[in-house]
Amino acid sequence: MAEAPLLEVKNLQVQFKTADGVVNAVNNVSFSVNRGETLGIVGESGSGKSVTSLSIMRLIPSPPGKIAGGQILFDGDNLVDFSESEMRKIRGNRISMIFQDPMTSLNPVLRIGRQMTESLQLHMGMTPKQARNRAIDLLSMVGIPAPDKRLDDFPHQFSGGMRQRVMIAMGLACNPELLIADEPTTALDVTIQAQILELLNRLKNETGTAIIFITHDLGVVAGMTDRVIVMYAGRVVEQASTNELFHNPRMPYTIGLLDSIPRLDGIQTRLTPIPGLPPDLLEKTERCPFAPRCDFVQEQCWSETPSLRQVAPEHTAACLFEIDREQRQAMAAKKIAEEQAALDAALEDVLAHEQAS
Amino acid sequence: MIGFIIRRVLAMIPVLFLVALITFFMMKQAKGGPFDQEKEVAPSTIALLNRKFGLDKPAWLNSAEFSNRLSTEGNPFLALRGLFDSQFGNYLINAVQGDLGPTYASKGTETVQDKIKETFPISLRLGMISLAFALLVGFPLGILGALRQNTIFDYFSLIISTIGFSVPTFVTGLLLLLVMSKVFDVAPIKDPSVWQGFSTSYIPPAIILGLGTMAYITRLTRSSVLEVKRQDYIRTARAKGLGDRVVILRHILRNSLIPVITILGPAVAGLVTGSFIIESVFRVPGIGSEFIGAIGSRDYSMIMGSTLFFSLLVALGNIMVDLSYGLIDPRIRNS
Repeated sequence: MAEAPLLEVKNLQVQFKTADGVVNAVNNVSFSVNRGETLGIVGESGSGKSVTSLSIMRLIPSPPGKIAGGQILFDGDNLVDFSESEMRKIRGNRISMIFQDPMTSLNPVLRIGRQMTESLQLHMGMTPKQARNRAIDLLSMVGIPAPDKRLDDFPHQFSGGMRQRVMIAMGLACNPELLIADEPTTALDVTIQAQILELLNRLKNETGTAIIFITHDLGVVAGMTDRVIVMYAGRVVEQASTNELFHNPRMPYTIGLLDSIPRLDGIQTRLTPIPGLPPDLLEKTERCPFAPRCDFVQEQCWSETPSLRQVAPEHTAACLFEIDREQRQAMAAKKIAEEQAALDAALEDVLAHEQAS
Repeated sequence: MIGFIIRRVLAMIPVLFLVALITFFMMKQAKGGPFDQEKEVAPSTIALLNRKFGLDKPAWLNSAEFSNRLSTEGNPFLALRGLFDSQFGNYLINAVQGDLGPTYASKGTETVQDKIKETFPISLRLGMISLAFALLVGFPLGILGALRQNTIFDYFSLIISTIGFSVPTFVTGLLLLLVMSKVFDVAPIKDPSVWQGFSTSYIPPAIILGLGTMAYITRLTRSSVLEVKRQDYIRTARAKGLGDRVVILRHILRNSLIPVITILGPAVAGLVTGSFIIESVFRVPGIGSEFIGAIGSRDYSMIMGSTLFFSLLVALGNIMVDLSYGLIDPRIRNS
């Protein structure tokens, strides 16, 4: 890895002003993406993953949102310092983005062709005719049949999966170096999800575009990404290669997420969900944000915000203690055994009472 | 498309029939008649006038005439004409043939269609100018308010539209007259001949007439643009690197036009049918004052005629709105 990373986010801080005070939606987030690499960002709703990606595009609605600190280095340039017009040359051209809901992300009154060609004409200086031909190529690349005819259709004439294909084609129109996919499959049927993921994987190999893949679905991450960062309450809490993260998760939150997925190999029969809800980002206290929901919480967790530390080669986690998945599973097994024992005891009690009377 | 228009035009028939029915019923419920005067009129004169205008016939159905004809002719189908030889029946039969009857105020020398032909073009011109004013001012003002939300522009647009909404036209109209005559020394009251054909005299009453519609369009446009502005597809457009101008002109405006167009049909009908107050204040010989005058003098055929004419305009306005939906929104075009 001698080459400098394509994108390097350093200590990013994003705040939203609300009626109740300042919300720190993204807190001191750092990560990097290499050329041609796929990075997964995982987290539940409100963990700051979408805000992080919109910050890279500088599309945070402002006000109330604002990048309060940190750097976003793209190919060496700090995007935070870019003017709006400089940013417009990046958006859709060198970095493009596809969004969660294909049903609402396309303009209902414009033909697909118009929506695809506008960025081609803007960024690549194509004539309308060239742009149209390129749009036809793009549509056939994403697997839309009869692309020259479909170009003159309106979004409502496409199904959800087809619209997401159009979105992907639009995102790839100008051969971007980085594609940000913000939960691109969340709004789709499972079968269509698989098709879209397959398509993204194929296109990544064909075009060599780096992808930031944002999702809350760990199953999607496993099949798509090279590296993963896990976000919780606006912070990065674990960062590792996909393989390492799945085999050796070290942050109790990640462990909890993995234990919440049903397994097909029948090793674990009972899912152990994470209790509770994510914290309110309004309050700013020095403690581990996951402490109230953590199975391994200790005295120290309530007084110190853990920062990322090296737990294995190329693997960092934001936990003060050495915790791994076996411990949680042992704990869960113990808990199940205890519950069973308590139940048995209660039953015996009842039986004893019945016999006595 | 052609089928759609034909269907809609056919659907107007029952609507107009119902309007005629209700108007006729309400008109008959009102006390008094077209020939009442301040001083007593001889009953024989009234009876003669009633006979001349057919007001001596039954109001709805003439069953006497029906049985009369049935006995003389024997053919029940031909005798049906006798059943409808009533005030309402004869009115409808003549109206379908384009004859809306004589105006009672003129004692039968003028017909209602003549009166409409004479006064409606003036109201139409006035209405078109005020509509143009309402659109040309209201739409940009609303867009400006939405794009510069919570800035001085937004508050300016809010103030203008609040004034347009809430100050009655007889106040704004008289104020404008006052300002024109006292401050600018222009005579706002014109010789009646200036109203034939377009002239600058139309501008002051058109502004006052269009004020309410302008205010409504401003508020509607503002909320509609604000709504469209935060749609996902606008974020998509920005993510493509498009500039503000293209995003606004190509992506926001067309989508925010849809709710505004909805109100345009009734608004057009309301504007071109004239306003009694504005026509009185500016001395415009339009159709609005004719209509109001007709109600006061129980001029039955004029009331019926202008009500039917207004309903026709509203219905046509709504068809135009439905057609323009299709032009703007492809989702409606295809369904």
